[in-house]
Amino acid sequence: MAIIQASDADFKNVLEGNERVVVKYYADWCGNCRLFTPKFKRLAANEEFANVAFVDVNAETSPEARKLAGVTNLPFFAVFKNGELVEGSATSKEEYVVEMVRKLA
Amino acid sequence: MKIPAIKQLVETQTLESLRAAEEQLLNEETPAFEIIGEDEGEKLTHVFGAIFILNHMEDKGSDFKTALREFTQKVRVSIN
Repeated sequence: MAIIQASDADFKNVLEGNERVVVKYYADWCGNCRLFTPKFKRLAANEEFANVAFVDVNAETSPEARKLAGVTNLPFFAVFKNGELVEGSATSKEEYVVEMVRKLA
Repeated sequence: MKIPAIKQLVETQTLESLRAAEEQLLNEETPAFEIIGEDEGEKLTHVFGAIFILNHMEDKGSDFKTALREFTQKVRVSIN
């Protein structure tokens, strides 16, 4: 599934329109965020997560979306179910993100 | 992120060499010069910071301290 690029303008709509959502908060200055890009694309293409919407949010330019997850560092990953935050964590470890997404299933 | 590491890159590298290092880090290659950082991600952050600062100094005619302040403000805003 393609990764959705969201911002404050449409973030709540994305949460309302998708039962299961994983968000990667990033910024252009963040090296680990950039290095995670191909991993996030790979996860989004994984059949195991076909029922999960993968979303990218620029944390620098989307303060409201950032506050909904309590972003403390970048990259920060948050999983939402039925519009509610389930878990959020600052990490660069792919396996940790995979486990977070699996909790949504 | 370590400010002294960014400062060192600003003082010793050009935009061209920094952009080359960015590509090399993204391609999991070793850059031509040493970059301080605990891992590849932090090194890349230092390269991004140095590129931002050099661009700011060139485009706005600002000094290093002003450009550095702009960069650290971007970082703070992103995680506040």
